[in-house]
Amino acid sequence: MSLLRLENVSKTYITGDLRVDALKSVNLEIEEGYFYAIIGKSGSGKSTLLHILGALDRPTEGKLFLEGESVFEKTDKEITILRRRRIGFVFQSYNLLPEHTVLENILMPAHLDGKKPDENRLKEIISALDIEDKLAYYPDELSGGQRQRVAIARALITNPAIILADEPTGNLDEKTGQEVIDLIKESAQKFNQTIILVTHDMDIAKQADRIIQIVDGRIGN
Amino acid sequence: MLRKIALSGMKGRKKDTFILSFVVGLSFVFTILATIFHASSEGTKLEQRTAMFGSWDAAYLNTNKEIVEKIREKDEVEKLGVSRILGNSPYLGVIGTINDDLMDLGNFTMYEGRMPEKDNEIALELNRLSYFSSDIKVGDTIPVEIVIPIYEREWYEAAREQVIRVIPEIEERFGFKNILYQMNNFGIWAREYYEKDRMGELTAYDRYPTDWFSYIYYGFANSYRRNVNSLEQFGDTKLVIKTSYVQMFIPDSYGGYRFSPYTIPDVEGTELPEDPPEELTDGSIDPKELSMISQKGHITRNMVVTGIIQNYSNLWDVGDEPLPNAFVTEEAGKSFIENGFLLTEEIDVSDFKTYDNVFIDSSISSQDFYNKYGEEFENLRRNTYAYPETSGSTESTLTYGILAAIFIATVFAVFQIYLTQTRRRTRRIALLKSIGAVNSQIRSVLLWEVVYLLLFTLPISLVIGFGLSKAVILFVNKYGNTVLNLHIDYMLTLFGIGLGILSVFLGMLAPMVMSMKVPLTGTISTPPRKKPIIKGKLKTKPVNLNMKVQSFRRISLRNLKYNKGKTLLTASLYTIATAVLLGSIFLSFIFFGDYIDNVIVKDKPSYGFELNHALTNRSIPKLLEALYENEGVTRVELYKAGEHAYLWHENINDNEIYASFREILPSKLIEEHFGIDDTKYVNLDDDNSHLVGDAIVTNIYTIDVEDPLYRRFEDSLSLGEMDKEKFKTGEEVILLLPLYEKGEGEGSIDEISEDILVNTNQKNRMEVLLRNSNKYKLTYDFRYGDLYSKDETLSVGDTIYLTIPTEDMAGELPTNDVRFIETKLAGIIYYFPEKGIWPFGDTVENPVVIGSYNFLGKAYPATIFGKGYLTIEDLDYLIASLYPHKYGKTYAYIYVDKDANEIDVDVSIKRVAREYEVKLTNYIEENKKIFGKSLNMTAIVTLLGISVAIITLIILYNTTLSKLEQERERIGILQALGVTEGQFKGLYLLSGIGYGLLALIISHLLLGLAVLITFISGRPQPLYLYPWKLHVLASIVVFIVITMTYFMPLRKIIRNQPIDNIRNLGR
Repeated sequence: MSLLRLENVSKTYITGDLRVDALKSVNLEIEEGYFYAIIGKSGSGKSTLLHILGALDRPTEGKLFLEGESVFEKTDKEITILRRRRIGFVFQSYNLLPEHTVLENILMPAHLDGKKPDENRLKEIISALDIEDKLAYYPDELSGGQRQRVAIARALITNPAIILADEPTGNLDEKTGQEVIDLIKESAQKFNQTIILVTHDMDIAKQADRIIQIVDGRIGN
Repeated sequence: MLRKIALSGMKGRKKDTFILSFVVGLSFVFTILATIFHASSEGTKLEQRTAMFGSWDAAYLNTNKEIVEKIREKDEVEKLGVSRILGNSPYLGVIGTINDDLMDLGNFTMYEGRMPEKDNEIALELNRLSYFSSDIKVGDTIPVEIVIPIYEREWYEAAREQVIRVIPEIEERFGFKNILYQMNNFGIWAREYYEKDRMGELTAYDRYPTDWFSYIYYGFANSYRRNVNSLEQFGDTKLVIKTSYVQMFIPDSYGGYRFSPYTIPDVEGTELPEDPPEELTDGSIDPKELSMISQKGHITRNMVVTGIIQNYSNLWDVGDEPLPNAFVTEEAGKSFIENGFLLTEEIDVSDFKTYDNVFIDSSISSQDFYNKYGEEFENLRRNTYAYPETSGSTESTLTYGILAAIFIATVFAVFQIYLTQTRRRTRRIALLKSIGAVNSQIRSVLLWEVVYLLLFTLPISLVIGFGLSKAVILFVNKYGNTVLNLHIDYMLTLFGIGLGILSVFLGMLAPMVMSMKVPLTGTISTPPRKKPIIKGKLKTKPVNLNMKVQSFRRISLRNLKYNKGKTLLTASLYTIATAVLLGSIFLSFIFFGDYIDNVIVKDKPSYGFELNHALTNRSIPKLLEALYENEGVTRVELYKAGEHAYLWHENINDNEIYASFREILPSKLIEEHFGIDDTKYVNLDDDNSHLVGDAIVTNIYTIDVEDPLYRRFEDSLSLGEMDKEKFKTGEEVILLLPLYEKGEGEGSIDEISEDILVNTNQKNRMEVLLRNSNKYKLTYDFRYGDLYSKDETLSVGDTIYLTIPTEDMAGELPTNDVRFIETKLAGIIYYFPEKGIWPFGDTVENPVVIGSYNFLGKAYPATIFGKGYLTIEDLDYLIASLYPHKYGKTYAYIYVDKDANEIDVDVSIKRVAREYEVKLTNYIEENKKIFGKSLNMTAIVTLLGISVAIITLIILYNTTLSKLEQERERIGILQALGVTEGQFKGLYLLSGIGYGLLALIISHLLLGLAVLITFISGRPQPLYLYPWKLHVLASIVVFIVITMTYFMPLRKIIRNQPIDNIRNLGR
């Protein structure tokens, strides 16, 4: 059984008289344990696809199945809890909470679930991401790369089944970006997680196990 | 181009532009409303003052033509109203001429018709109508009689002169001796004798005078006058010179009365001839040989009534000088005087002069004119009623307060909205900069936005503002029973608008500066934290990996702390809105308190009658019938009163209030309130002297048991029951004993200032002095029923003893005895439930006896007979000299339907008042003034409260909205991390409740401070009378509004998908 499955998913944005079909009848299956890269030009719908996969957005039509269960038929609360426990996000602009320290940011998803994560797991994550000495810092005291590592750590802390990364290297230089990709891959392998990463950079996409090409709202390859 | 950018930008941000326009427009509307209301209020007051008191600046009264011309020559004199005083008329009062300038300056309001224009026309004051026995209408021809006094003296002076002239002649001619001897009399003593007696200045010589005039029977003075009239006609003018002489009237020993200066007096000790002298005939004598009492010229002309003028003469600021009650033209004046009176051949009138009243309108202010010419014209007087010295009123201060509040609120609102917009527009601004726009161009775009905003909102606000002003004025006029005319003070309104425009520019100043600092990267950098973290320090600080679980609440609290400034601003704004709203209630309570206390709670009537004697039981229905004849009269409450009775009961010496009062009373006034000199009364002995010596002076008010007033007292009883029969017969009475609260005062007589004392009378003195010395507060107000104490020295069923000076005479001397009345106490009234019973709620007497007419008759027998054949003037004299309380008093309180025709009712009541010769008090104007002022103030305060509260709430809603806009990203992130909708709702609801509670607590602390200030300043407000229910309701409403204002904007945001909220940044 596929981990994630999209069935005839369409997403349309309407602004006044303007109608934009971001996704058109997309069917897609994501299998567990693989590193997927979704590639497409700007405006092709790749981020929209990712957001729907992560239940951060609702499709106009179609369904999303996570481990066989239809996600959008659940209540908002159920979807939120599902997202909290099963999906980790890494955004292009990090989206860390500036009033919380690095450690607090990392632990937040677990704490929101009312749980304390396993200390060993935490050590493992922060060690893997090389941010042990930054835990007391605040996000605006870190560089871009460091912030992205914190974001990755936060995404990993609840041991989600899926990591969704939306252009995680978009705000980083090439070297740092590559480091981030390496980290993501390493973490995925280590913790046996499925990664779906959106990028417009073919070089990054080539490092994935599978590439999903999206053109004009439809899956190409 | 920049203008186009600005305009298209505003069109593109429709919602933001709408909110901004709404706030700015609203502030202009309220500004215009406040300024117009203020100008209308002040303008109407000036109109009303000049309408009531004339628009003249200064006056010179009782002057001559020379002075008039001197005044006319002054440069500043623009108009000169001149009224020549012709004389008095029995029905019309003072008659004077009127010129055109006086017609302008007088602002006379015609009740009907017009002012006279021809020499046979007259207009009279409305209050003169009641002097006529039949209705006078415009168009009627009436005889106008002007009486010019030529000579006048007291009749007894004339009599004395005659006696002195005639008696020696009688003695010489007829051989009577010792005519000047004491006469027997039982009437009224001559004035000067009894003046001396009252003052205790009679001498032995006075008691046995040689001047027999002092003992002449005074009875009917007119009967002693010989009137001689002459008649002359000058065209339409008839002149009668009436001369009055005194002719002595003495009963003679030959049985009969003779009118003759030579009539033989029947006096003991007078030697009479055996036969009457031949010259003693029927008493015909040439009057000119008699002594003249008075001589008057009566000039009469028939004139047409052209108009009835609304009363003015009792209103103008002219001191005691009489003003014309009727006006004729200057030509008519000449017909009366030059072509009438001065043509008489009967007497020499060459020295006769009339006097003028002059009213001046000057080109400079009233005060300036007076300052300039006050010395030169010594008797010049300023029209202080129309142009009072003090300008500026509480309303003015409040209006400026409103403008200031609106100004501040608008600056905040505009600042806050523009700030939000600026943050949202950073990308666009960055874009403009990236394509080459310099800061001055960015600035221009923003300034043009403000210009367009103002161009759009101002005209609409002006229209709405003026429209709303008109509506508010209509409302106040309809429900406030006032007349407010629309006035626009253009300078003030322009000032307000200017202030509004300034507030908009000030509000957008800071955001504009921020806009110019937007970097090309398109984000406004986060302002640095106040306490930058030192990296080095934290680096080495150990971190606890096993930290405590952060609940969503803790996470949110961290956010609040992180945004302390915004949190504080939000809390402050909520507090301001709450404080202003609750403050409005408090201020309204204070302003209306005056009306509630003085009119409603005391059941204040429209008119009061006071008669100097008790009417007979047969006269009362006639009086009532006369009053009720006018349909506007809804209720009349009448008392027959007996005053200055000594009240004693067994426990009277335990009454601490009386004891305290006695301590602080000046010694010269003790006798008015306490029986001190029990040796004064001849029938007091050791057994009963305490009935006066230990007594308190009280007044007895009696009622008709069949009247509804009886029922009102019965329903008001705090203790006991009234048995109608026993009450009627006088077996029982009830007492009014006021509630009291003991104060801290250790006041002594020295602390009671003369100013306070001079405004007291026998009835209110106890309450006033005890209050001012802070010893006791006394009241009949029901609102203190559970708060104050009650007099426990008396119980229902107790016997009370009333001792009343009989004021009888035995021959020439007062009997100095008293009458003893015993009665049972059937009931006690400590306070009046709900509405008071006038006048007791107003003048707190202690104690007051309420009894029946029969009871009064027992206590004051003379009251049974009314005034008999005495005139009111006779009675006044008797009361002043001999019998201050014997004849009792009558008090009637008249209530008028508020929808009745005021003028009709007024004329009819005044007619009755004149017929019964009562002292009339008009409470209507007082009541109206208090209500009108209260409503005006309340309207202004409410306006203030509503305007500031609305603007503040708009700011708050927008603040919350923009705060949430700024937090959307954070909300989106938290949604992505797994915070549910329920958790967000719970948090924001709690926050709203927190802000609401905080606002309420701080507002109440501020209000408490305001109340404390009123206490410290010596004007404490009776908080237990505060409308707490309204206050609680308002607090609840405000609390709910605050909570919802904070909570509602969230709902939309949390319904968005997480990614929509995250994407919001930099949109």
